[in-house]
Amino acid sequence: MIRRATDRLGTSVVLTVLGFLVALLAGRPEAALLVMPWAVLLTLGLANTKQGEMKVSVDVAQDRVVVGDQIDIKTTINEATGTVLVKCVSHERLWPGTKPVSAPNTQVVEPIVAGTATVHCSLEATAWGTHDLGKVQLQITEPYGLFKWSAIQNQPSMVRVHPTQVELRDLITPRLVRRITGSHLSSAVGRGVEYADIREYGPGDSLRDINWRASARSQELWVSERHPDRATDVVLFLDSFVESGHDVQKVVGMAIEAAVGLAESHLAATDRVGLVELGGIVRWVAPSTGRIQLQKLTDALLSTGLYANATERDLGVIPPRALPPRSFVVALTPLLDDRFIQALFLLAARGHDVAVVECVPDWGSFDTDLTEASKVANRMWQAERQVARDRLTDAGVSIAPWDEGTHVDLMISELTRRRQRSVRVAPR
Amino acid sequence: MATSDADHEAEPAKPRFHGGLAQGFGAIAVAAVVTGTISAASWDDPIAPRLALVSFVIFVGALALGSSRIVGLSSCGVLGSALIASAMVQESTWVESVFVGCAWYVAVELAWDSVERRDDALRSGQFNIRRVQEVSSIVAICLVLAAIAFAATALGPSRTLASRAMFILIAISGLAAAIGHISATAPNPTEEV
Repeated sequence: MIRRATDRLGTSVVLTVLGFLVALLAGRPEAALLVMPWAVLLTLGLANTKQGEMKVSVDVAQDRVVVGDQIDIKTTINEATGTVLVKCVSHERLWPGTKPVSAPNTQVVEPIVAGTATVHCSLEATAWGTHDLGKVQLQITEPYGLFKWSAIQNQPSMVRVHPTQVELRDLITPRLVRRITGSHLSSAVGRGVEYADIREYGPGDSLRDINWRASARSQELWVSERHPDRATDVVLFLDSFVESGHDVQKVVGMAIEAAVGLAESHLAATDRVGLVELGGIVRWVAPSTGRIQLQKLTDALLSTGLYANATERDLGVIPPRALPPRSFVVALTPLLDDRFIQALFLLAARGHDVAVVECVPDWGSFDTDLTEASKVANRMWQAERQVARDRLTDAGVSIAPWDEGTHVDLMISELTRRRQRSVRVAPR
Repeated sequence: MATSDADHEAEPAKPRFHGGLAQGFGAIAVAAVVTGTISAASWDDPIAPRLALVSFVIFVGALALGSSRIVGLSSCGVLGSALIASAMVQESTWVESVFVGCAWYVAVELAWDSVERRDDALRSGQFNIRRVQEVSSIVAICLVLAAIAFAATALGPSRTLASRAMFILIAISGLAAAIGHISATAPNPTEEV
């Protein structure tokens, strides 16, 4: 902690010395009486100065909140005197991603009683992610205000701020399913609810499957066949490559919000959901089910970092258990990095069912501020991107654009419609 | 770290009275009273009222700009003008000097409080009570010391060599103790990160 003298000390010393000097030299005791309050202030302030170290502890009440929630921070000061000011002013520097709740909880001043003071501050989480909120900026003013102690206390305390929950009305229907009961309609026939076809009764067929209406019209027994409900493996394929020219954080943020919503919805439908992040670093979470898997996926998504990297990234480093065969891969990407596009081609070639959610960046006035040559170059670049999209579509990958103003449900509806129109249908 | 958009409408700003304003106006009012008192007491001297007025203007300007240091140093002019005004009076002005000194001290404390409260921090009622206790205790001690000094000098002839010597001895001892205490308590600046 740094101790500094305040203006009170300087003023008190100057006035006291001047007053006493004039009183002594000129023989005017009125001068001393005029400055007596300052002399008393100086005496009392110096008599109550703090000796020794003070103890500060910081406690964050929550470790998991949702965007918009309030985070309570309690600062306790021991073995101190005077008053303490706890500031949340430099929140962008100390607590990135949060902003103080509207006054009066941004800065709090409390007197220190019997050597102890407890100060409560509140922050509003405005940006999701994993934040370290253990840093506190505080200022302790000694009694009578002659000296101030200032310090930044750091006690790492991680808080995970979850994005606003996105409730999806529909799921993206996979083309490939597993042989485990789930929520997706399979094109195969077996035990299920959805009617598929009828056939003649054969040895071993259950009497419950007999279609009595059809059997009554003919002289033979007919049984109903149904489509079973199956589960699938869903792998969220996140593009975290850093490309210039747009707000990377916003685009990746959109992708992560959609990923959390898709993970939650598919896990609720008893699908196995996993995550593969391809970008500056390569990370993965093997597909699994349950609430614990949702926590793992959410934690992995919240700790997504943006690291510029020019090295080649391929899928060879990803173990097979992270990308199970015939899994349904949902890629969330702005389709700007060639390495990620090549990975999509590779996944489609391996037989995965791939769908792409193209998170469209907000280019702003980029197009209008270009020279003629730059406009030509921009058109060529847009054409190259369209070629990449067309090649992906030809490879059986459906692409649905998604911008910031579109709800996730609309994007899923558009993606489902494009997948239904897709030419290539992989065998189940 | 990526940023998400929290779809929250901004709450309408509630009108909030800044505590610093009350202290600021109080400081100006008390300072105006002190300045007026000094001007009235030196009705036949042009220097003291002008000095007091200029110092008052500096005080108000520094308060408006938020400079605690200039606010404190403007006390030199005001107290100097009070001293000049007291020199014009024949009889003893001890009582008036004590009250002027205490009143001006209260004005400066109010001004400092006003400047400090511009950080819009929430200050609890306990904090406000403590501040009032600190200022009132200083004023009370001053009045008591002045009363003791006045009673002591009333017992004998004023401004004798003995009373001067005692006064000088006490003052020098106090200053030496203060300087020694400041030097002894000066810590090595360290910062916990």
